[in-house]
Amino acid sequence: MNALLIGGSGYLGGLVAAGLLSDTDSLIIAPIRGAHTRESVLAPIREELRCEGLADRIDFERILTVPLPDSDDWSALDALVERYAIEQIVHCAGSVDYFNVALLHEANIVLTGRLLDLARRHAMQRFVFLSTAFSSGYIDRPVREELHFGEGSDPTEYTKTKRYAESLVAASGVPYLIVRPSIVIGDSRDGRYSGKAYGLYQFWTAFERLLTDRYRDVLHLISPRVQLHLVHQNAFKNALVAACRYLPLDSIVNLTSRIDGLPTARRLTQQFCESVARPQQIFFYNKLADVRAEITDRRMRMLLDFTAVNSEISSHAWRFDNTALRTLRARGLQFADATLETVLTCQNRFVAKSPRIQAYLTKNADLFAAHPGTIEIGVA
Amino acid sequence: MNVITDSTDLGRDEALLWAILFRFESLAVEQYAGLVPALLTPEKQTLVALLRTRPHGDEELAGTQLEAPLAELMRSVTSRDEARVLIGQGLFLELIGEAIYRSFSQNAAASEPTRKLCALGAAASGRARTLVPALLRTRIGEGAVLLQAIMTEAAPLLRSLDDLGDGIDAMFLDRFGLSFADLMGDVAAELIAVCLDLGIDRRKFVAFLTSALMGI
Repeated sequence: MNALLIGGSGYLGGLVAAGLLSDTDSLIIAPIRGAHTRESVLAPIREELRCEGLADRIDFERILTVPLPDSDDWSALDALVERYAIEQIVHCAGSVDYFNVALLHEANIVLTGRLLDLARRHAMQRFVFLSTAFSSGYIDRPVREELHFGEGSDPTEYTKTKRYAESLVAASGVPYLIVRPSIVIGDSRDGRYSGKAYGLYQFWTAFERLLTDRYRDVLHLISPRVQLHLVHQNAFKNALVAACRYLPLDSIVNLTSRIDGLPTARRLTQQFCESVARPQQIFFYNKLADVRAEITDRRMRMLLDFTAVNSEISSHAWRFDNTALRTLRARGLQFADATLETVLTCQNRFVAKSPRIQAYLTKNADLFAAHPGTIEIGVA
Repeated sequence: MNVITDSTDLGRDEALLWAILFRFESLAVEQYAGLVPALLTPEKQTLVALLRTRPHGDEELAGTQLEAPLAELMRSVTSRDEARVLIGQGLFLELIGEAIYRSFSQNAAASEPTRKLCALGAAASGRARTLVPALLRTRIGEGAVLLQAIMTEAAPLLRSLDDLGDGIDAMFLDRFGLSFADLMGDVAAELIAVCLDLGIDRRKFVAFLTSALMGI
């Protein structure tokens, strides 16, 4: 089934492109913005397939890059759909800017609406929509693989727009597949990751940028004792391809790792501190409001501020229904669940590739604690 | 006061600093004159007049790690739109400038001409800081409206600013102790305070700064 891939220049879109190239015979038409070139879009896809040992077997001519038309002139896409007999849209584009309402509306809602119109005009067989596991907002029950109705309490405007876009997809009349990954991290086998500093990478990057200037014997960190819902990029890619192949039309799939093996945010922070930051003592907080006002280290404060929203989201005890994923596993899906060990693989890769952290490790080795002491502030 | 007369032998690092400040301030004067004349203060005009007595620093900048990201930063705030100039140049770049000026005005590793120039610069940017909030309030608004405008207008600036980080550390950290993270810490603290006074939700503003400064 030939596909129009929207967002192919992005991190997840690139993984999807790699999956479609390796696991299907589809022709992929990828509209790209002016800032990108065919080669800049193909480079990470090639690299992903090279790491999988598949690049030599892939005909990269199967992916065609075309200019993304202006938002008010989609006739060019109509022509492409006709010309290449496109039968499905795989929509991976969007904004993750948590509170930029205008951008979120344009990128997550308006664009989705336009693509659904396109799909309808051409009676496409399927619309694959990349959403988020957190599109329900905060709810006190497991997140089911169904549409979420009503206005729940949302961690960010982002989740609200994704929820609304899901409802547009479902109401469009076009057969659909909604894919909801949780927080995507690097490959479980070697830790490779080409995304931006989202999720856990935000904490690691904040440490790299803010706290490697000198050794700190005391760290203050917000880190709740709640499982952090991570999904490895290889698991995401395999599951999306399998979902396209095996799930019935009008399905929704939550892509989250098995909760019994998932580490808590606290354990992951401890793992990082024990192997990288190596302070003598850690003050652990559950939320920003618990943080002591007298912390005068501006960089430490910035790290706490910069990671506050994600810490807040991760403090909610998210639970997910994984019925569709179980079905896919039963059909042979290789889905590498995130565990403390596999996340360590990603952490080690990040650390190894960071000159700042490497310099920090070398310069401060004599000061490192064997095992940091921990002090708990606030009630879990 | 002529602080430039004995500045002919600034040394490469300080000449580079002056070249950067010349670009910031020249653009400020040009844009303020056309779009936000209230920010074209006597302090600012005096400062730019002094900076213009030296060569523009093209040679010092050429080929450095700062050349390309600085050019991109300048492009990101060059605009014929009042809101973009007011937010990008009047709010963000003035606070960044003030943090740089304050750091160098008291920096024992810097030369006397540089310290004097930076004291003038700090005063000029400090004056702008007192004027900008009222201008933002009257020309754009407060609270959510202003936050949306800031997110729209300042995002390109912050993205290009993020690209300057490694260059600033490479050029100024060893000799002057100026690090990009410390600089942005000062700027972020001031920005947050200004924005809170203008009714902006702290959590949302910090999330915006985070994503912009983390390259997201």
